[in-house]
Amino acid sequence: MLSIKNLHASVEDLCILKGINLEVKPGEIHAIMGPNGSGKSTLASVLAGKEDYEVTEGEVVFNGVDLLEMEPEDRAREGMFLAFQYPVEIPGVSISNFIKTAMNEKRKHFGQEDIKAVDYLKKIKEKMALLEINPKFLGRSLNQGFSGGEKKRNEVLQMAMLEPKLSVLDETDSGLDIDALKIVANGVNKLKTSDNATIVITHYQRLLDYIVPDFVHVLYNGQIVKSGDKTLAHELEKNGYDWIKEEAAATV
Amino acid sequence: MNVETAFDLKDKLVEDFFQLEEKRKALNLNGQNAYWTEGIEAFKKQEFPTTKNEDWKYTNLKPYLERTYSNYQSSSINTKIDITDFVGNDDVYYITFVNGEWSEMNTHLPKQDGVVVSNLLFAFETEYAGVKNYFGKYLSLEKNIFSALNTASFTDGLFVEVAKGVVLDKPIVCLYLTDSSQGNLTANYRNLFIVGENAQVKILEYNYTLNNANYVLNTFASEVFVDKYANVDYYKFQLDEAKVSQINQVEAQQEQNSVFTTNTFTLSGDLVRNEVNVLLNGEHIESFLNGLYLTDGKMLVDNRSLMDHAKPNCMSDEFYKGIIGGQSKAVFNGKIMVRQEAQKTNAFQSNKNILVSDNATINTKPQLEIFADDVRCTHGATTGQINEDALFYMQARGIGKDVARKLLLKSFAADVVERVQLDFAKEFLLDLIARKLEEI
Repeated sequence: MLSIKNLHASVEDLCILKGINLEVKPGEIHAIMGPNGSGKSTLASVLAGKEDYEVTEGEVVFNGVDLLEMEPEDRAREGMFLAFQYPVEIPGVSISNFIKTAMNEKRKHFGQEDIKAVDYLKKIKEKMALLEINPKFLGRSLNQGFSGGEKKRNEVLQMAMLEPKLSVLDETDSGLDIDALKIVANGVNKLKTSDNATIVITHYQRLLDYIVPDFVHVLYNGQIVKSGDKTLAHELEKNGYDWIKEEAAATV
Repeated sequence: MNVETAFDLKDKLVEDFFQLEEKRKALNLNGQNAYWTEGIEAFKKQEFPTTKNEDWKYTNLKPYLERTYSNYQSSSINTKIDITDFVGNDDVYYITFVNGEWSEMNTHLPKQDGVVVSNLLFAFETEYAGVKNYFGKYLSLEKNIFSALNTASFTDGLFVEVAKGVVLDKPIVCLYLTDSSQGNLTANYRNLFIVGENAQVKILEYNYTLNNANYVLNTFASEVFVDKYANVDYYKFQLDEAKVSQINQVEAQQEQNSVFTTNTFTLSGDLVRNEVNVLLNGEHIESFLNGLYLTDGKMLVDNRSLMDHAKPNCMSDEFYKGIIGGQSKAVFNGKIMVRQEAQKTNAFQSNKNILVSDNATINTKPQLEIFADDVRCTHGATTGQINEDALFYMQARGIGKDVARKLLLKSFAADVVERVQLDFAKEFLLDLIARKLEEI
């Protein structure tokens, strides 16, 4: 589904990603862990197509097409979803209107008619029930005045509605208490199928107790320096990142 | 501080005055000509302002005064219009003016007891007491050359008088149509609204250009008296084409416990200058000024206001937003005056702008003059660009950049739109905004 080869990216001439390689197949959950500043969020932003990042080398193929050639909106329409670490507050645009617009833009991309108002309402109510979200939420302005937990739940609601093939969760656990974290993680698990894939980016192992990964990768200094199964996450939790840094230094 | 031009527009307009006077002889004005004469005397004594004048610092009139304009150009457009085409609703009373002249066939007025709605000349001819008691009472001829010009040259306008306790059953729509097919044109409109104690009325004005062939400079002066416990909801939809300029003045006086709301929506035109001065002349008054301007091309939109708090326990709330594109320019100057007696005043003012082009300009200047010591006044002005993070967030959900941009701009304007109390006017405004955002 996703194939990243030797990906290099920089922001304002500062090289942050220095040769990432990663293969993700349908049905898989990958966790990417790493210390602060290792390039985790940069990877997420590059995949979503944020303009500030310049890809200097390498390739990313998403379902057979060159992802890096696509505009951010086309990536999303083709099934890429980034759950933002810091969802943006947009006053005056209701959640309901926003998600409907996004769905219709996707439908238009595939030559489909706009979704019927009735069908849309039915679907969003279903998904909100699934994610334990109060229906009053719908009329509120996007993320405006939301708590950390509400923002992240709103991200997962959008994910549920847009049904992406690949979801990248960027530090979805940051700023969440344990109850909010469970709700968000449960939501992600409920949306999991054998056809879609998830990349969970996190600093801490805690989230991975609830979203159990098939693979864990350690990103350090712009490269994936270690990969393993979920036990690697526990090891990192116990021993911190210093041993990774030492190992990486030794190989250089 | 004279504006130096190749020819003198002032001389030209003074000459025109005598022509207009000849035409007025045909009317049955019963010696009421003195109003116009006072106007021309005041006009002669003043000069057009330059940018050295603080009130015109950011609005250079020179390009607009270098042209000649003729009064009283008859329009060939004398067909019956469909009011729905102009305001999106036909369940209204309406009155129409074309190039300064009343269009009788395009007028549908209320026949309700206690309500007089007519063209102003009719009110003069029938010698309504309202004209005698209120005309010229709030607009000072000395303050501004355009007040004097308007008083010297007005050819007609809207007269509304609502008696004590009367609630008008439908809104009053006033259309000002401009047809410049015959040459450069000027028309001067004078309005007088007298709203009695505990009466209620909604008045909506629309500026439309039927033919954008030549340059136009229109002036509007409206005097509004809002008696105690009255409620007046006043709208201006400024929708002229790119060669049509207007200088607009509203002078209002409110009495105790009254509510007056002025909504000014500027979506097109050349130079659009709006001055709204409100005197809060009693206790427990509420006064609202809402404004939205969407500018592009070479438009210049200048909104000025004075909220003059003369008595205690009043509230004023001024809320203007602008989306400024192309090479256009917007000016906002809002002044709040709180006189010594006006304790417990609550005055709010906000002006927010988004510049959507590198060549667009905004000059915003809040002014507070407070002489009372127990007041609450807040003001804030912001200017920014489209939020790039929000744009990316929307793109990352599959919303194309162009659609995302429009959605963001629409949402920026949404809270001004929300203040519109009439549903059909709100719908109409939303539609105008959507269409305008296609161009900006």
